[in-house]
Amino acid sequence: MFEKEIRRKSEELLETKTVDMVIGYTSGSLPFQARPVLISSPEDTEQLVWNHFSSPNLARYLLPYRDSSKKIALLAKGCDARAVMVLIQEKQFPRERVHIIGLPCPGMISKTKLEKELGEIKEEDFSFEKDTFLWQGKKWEIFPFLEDTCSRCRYPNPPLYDELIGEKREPWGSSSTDYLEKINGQSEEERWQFWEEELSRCIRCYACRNACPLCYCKECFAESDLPRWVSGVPTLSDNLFFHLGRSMHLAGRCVECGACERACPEEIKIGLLPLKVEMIIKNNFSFEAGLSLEEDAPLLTYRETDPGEFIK
Amino acid sequence: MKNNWEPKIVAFLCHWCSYAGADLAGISRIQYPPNIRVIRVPCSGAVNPLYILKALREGADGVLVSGCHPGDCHYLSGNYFARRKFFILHELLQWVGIEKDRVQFSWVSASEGQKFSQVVEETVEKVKKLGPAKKLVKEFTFHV
Amino acid sequence: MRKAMNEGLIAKEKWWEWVEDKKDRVFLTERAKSRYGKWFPPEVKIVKSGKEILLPPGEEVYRYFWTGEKWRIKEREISASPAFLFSLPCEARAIIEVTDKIFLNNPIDKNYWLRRKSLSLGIMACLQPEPTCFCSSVGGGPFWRDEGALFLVPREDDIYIQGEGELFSFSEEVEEKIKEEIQALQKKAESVLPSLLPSYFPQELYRYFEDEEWNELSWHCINCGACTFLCPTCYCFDLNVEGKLKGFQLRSWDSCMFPKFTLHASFHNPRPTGKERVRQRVMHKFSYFPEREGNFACVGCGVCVEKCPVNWDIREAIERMVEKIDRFRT
Repeated sequence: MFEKEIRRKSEELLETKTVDMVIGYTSGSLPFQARPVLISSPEDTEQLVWNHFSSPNLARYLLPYRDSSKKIALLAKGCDARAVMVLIQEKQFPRERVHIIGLPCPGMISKTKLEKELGEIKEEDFSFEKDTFLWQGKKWEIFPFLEDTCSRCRYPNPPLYDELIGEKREPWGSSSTDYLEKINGQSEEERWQFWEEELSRCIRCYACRNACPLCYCKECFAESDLPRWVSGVPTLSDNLFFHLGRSMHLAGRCVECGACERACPEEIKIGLLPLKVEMIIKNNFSFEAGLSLEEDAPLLTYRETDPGEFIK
Repeated sequence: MKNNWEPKIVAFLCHWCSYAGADLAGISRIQYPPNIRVIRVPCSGAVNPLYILKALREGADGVLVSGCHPGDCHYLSGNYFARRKFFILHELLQWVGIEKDRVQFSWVSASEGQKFSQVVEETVEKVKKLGPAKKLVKEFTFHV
Repeated sequence: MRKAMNEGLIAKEKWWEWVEDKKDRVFLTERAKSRYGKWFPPEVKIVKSGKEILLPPGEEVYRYFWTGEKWRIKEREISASPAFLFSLPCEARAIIEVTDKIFLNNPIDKNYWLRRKSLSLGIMACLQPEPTCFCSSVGGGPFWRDEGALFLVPREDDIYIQGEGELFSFSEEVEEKIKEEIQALQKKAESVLPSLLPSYFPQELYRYFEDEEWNELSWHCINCGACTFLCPTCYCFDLNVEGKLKGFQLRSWDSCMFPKFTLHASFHNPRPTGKERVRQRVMHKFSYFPEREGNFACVGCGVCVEKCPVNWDIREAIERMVEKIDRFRT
């Protein structure tokens, strides 16, 4: 699926010195996994891959180059490109130094879901197409095997790009609000039980925070000593504090890429918290992060008509 | 739960309006419940959402944040930003399962001593109904 | 030097009698549960690794308060009742060959010691290593055993055991052909695993401290800390005091991947970027610790490889360094 075009384009960009390096995906050391890679010479572009397992958010890898002068080409899925937009808006990375190779996203497949449904599997037995795959002589729909974070995606097409490789596509259909409906409809006690169960498993490894392209504070509030907000002990109260605090810090900035949820080693549905915040902002302030470079961030503006009935 | 349990409520009051309003209530000798612990802040917009979470973590049974009426902010727009921020925080806390009345907000101006005492009474009553806070309170034992 | 250990065969019914009786004091690791869950009642407690029991993710060390005239400190008394931990060989080896050497040597960590001496270990043989396993390259093995622990190989209707303990009071003799069967299983499991790293590796690796290879190797690591927290041998912890006139001192897991791990009081940080921290992790496990204690501080369980969000693979780092060392070694 477009791997050849991607390699050719990256080679061209490096040969003509339009960019100094290309950040993309290469095959991982385990089946059904791809990993981020930095390519600086045209010969190495053969290493680039693009498949249903290219799930880490690459916009995160722009952050170490904020102060350098290198021009970087980034292979960006829909959510990655939105993240780059937010970084540009927040003046973390200049628009001229990033060359976005937009890739409409086919949706990332969850290895766990594949193994659960199909049992022991080998990568060689699969042949992936855009929306289906062939396995054991049968054609399967990809949708049931998508990562949760991808089945609720509303913006698979990059909103900003210097070039596009691949065909634009429609979102999968289940909108993010549907996904939250199940929890929205539950009672307070049920919701609390759900979050208690999920967050008791959290070991506070900060994989979610480090995988997020928008968590780039030099000192995270969770590691601050003066003032001390949370302790190092992963009790439910401190885990809740950290995740609520992180979601508030991402208010109006989160691009719902789900990298946090996919990174979590305990498989906690941690992406639902920033997602809920973004839905609150979308429904009440009509704003979605990372779609336009001109719109002001929601917490930097206000309207006289903002909802205020909750205030006495 | 003892019958004579009294909730402890942390109140973030903006210096120019709500704190002055509370002061007026005092000078006018208006009685109101003594459950609040006041923290004076320059503006309701200066209240970091983390302060509210921290208050709950440290054992506060409720939190009250009070500022100037929209349009009257001493810093012109601080309370507008506060309104947006707290709307998001309040919805998020409710969604996670924290009781709606644990964190409350009000606009109280410097001349509204009476209103301030009413706001405190309401807040204390609502929090009393909920009982002592348990959900976000810090703890240090980790059980295997 | 291992002395000859007792061998025996426990019938299924006798095993179930024994484990049902002990079930509230039995811990089972997640990985052992996925292989041998059907040999244990559902009431046993599941842990991620022995580390959760011996060195909990967070605990209070002492409380203090100001009396008005002086400070009073009250240490937290922990008590540990006798318990069993059943795990795979790599996880048990992490305790016996790594964390024991750290916490039971001079000085002895009191909390760890109290918990450790009441914890009996049961090593369940690993019959089917995963693709991420590499225990044999770091000195372990799928049938690794130790005289300090019970060794079990569950079969169809009975369990082969080796070691000491009360289970032997109702075990039967082991026939020769069963012993041969066990040995064949061992060979089969070992055949899929990589070979032992060369003995000169710890010393030689240190000479490549400033090598450029680390830049490339560490590039895509996001320095989150998931690997260190899931690792059964990583033992670093942090001590923090919370409170003013009264409060607690807490001990919690720390990670060399966190930016403040080596932040000095002068605000100098000798490991400012991810590269230094990744290098430190590999060096500690494969050079510093083995030079001091004689074995690697990695047991090859592969959990870090399985769970890393960006597929950073410690085996690849090791392979590349071995290649470099072999190329230039005279």
